[in-house]
Amino acid sequence: MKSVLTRHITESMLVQSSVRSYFEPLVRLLVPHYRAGAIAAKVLKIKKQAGYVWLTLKPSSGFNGFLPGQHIDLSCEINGSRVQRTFSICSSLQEFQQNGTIDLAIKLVANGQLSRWLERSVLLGSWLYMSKAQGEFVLKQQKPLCLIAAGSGITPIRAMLLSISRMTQPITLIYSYRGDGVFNDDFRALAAEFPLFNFIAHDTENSPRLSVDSIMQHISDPAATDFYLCGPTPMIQQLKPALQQLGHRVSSESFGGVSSDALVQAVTFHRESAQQQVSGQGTLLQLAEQAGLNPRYGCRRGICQQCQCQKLQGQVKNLLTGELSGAGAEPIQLCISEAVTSVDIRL
Amino acid sequence: MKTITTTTPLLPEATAQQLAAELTELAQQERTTLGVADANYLLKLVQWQRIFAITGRVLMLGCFWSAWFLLPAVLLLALAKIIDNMEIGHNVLHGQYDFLQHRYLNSKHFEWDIACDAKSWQRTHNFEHHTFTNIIGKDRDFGYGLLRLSNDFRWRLRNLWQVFTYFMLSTLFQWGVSYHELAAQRVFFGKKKADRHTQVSDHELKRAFFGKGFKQLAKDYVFFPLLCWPVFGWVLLGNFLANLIRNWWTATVIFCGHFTEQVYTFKEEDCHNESRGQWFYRQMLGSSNFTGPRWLHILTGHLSCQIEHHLFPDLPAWRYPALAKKVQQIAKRHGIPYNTGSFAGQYLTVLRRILRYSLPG
Repeated sequence: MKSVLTRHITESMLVQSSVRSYFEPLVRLLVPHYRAGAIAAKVLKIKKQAGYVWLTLKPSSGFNGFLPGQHIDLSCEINGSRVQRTFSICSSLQEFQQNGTIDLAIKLVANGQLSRWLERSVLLGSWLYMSKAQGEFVLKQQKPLCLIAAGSGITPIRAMLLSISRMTQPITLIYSYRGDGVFNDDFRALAAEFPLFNFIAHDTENSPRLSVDSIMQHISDPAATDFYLCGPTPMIQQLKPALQQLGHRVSSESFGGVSSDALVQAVTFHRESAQQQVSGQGTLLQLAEQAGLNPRYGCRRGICQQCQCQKLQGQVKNLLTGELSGAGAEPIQLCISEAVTSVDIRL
Repeated sequence: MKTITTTTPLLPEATAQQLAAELTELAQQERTTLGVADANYLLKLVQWQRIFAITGRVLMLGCFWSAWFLLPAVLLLALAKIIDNMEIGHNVLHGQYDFLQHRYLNSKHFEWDIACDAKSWQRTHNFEHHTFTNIIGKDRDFGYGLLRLSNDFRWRLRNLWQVFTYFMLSTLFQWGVSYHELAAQRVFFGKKKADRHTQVSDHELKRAFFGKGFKQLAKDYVFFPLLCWPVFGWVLLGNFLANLIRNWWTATVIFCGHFTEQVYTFKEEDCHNESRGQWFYRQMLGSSNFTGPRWLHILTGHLSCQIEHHLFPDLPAWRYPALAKKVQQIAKRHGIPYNTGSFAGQYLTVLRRILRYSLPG
């Protein structure tokens, strides 16, 4: 009650939603890296390895820790514009407790705005901005576990495994990658330390993709095992239902940003209460209207910004300029945007 | 009295297409240069706005010792409000800085120090006024339903004293702006118009109107005076004067943008299915610029470059003066009138227009 009242009074007196955002511009005169509503993190180490940029970050005091497996939203200011993507923390809890640092291993994507910027332009000692840690993809059970990761989906699982100090349950890790297994050395060291840990490196360059059968070969007590999946959406879509059908408990996290070649893309509109998936041709405004969602609009020709919405992820094409958007969260105008990949929109 | 009735000249479609191509090219070129300069400009602007606002409010406490403190305090606070409303608010709410993805200086979340609810303003201004600029019957900003500014409107007796109406509108400008959408939707008075499309209920309009208005009144006339109790009266007076100066200033600037003598009006039937070129053309004929030093441009929120603002409403406004030179060349090449002059000169023609149409004919 009191906080609602204070918020109302600050809102009216400062004409701002928070005291912080009113004073942020002035604080920045003294502390240039201060940003209201974000946790500043200093770049302590940059390493490039096997198609990944590896950052060691030291978050400022607003960051209150994480559970291994959780992710953060990372924002970088690229030529003045804030670009935000989500990354899993890949370092251990012990490392955070000892040094106050976290590591992110960011896969280099061919046209990835953020990853390419990190590769080329990020400087040691500069500041990036992050959210608190979030996500439900964390280890919960004292039961035999099978962790399956593909590609950059290995990052949260690395954090989970390196944070384990005493292993009392059998854990199998199946890591599917192409060419260079970025963390293989870490996992081999772990397997040497803990007899209960079983590491299977699965290089898809010379063997077929993972299937339920190939997974089951590596598991001694399938009936008692829980599964954790992390990787690209198609992999999750293929393995998760199959494993669930066999009666297993499956936790999963999909790493989006997959661009499929289908002409008609799936568009998911998120509202406060529910979400709705639509696919079809036309602008996002037309799609939302066909689905009976009644979004706000005005001029319908890209002038008035009335239909502006936050795109959560996915790429769209601006029909006025023909430009392709980035893959992360940003505002777009529904009336002049067409989905190029699968897209999530908050209405 | 000099007659200023002009029929709107038509532009051949071929020229319109050429015009659209050139202006689009110009905007695209400008867009490639967007970046950190815009972020820094916006930050500096907000920093100055905060410094003026805080200094102004603190100086008011000085009235405890001498009433002379009121003068600089009011001027600083008025300056802060003008910068907040014009160069920051108007432009941020247009989405000019949305590409920065700033957490709160963006068109979705920004709220300004004025009685009008930002969302309501975006609907009437960004959508109606910018889409249907100077189309009589569609753009209610043309005369605000109070003033007769062209002979597209029938003369009524009340137009006889419209100079006085204009003065009152300027004095209460922030309330005029905040009531604008409610007047258009006939929320309290008048018969609903059948052809008006709206996505906001009357109830929501009333809530936003009273909600924001109440907050602003509470801020300037209750909270801040109470906070400075020993000088309660001075603070109340100071806030009132700052709001008044801001009202007069914004009204004057805005009237110079669309109501100068050489501005043209359009008929609804002429604008059905207009091409992008014709839309650009209408923006150019329906707006007028004025010249002046850089500080003047900033205090007008760069509405001194109204033509460029109407052509490129989503480009950061501080870029307009540089664009204006190129737009003027394009206009000249195609023989399109480009309406500009000194601030005082343009304002005199506004007054002439108001006077001219207070009489019938």
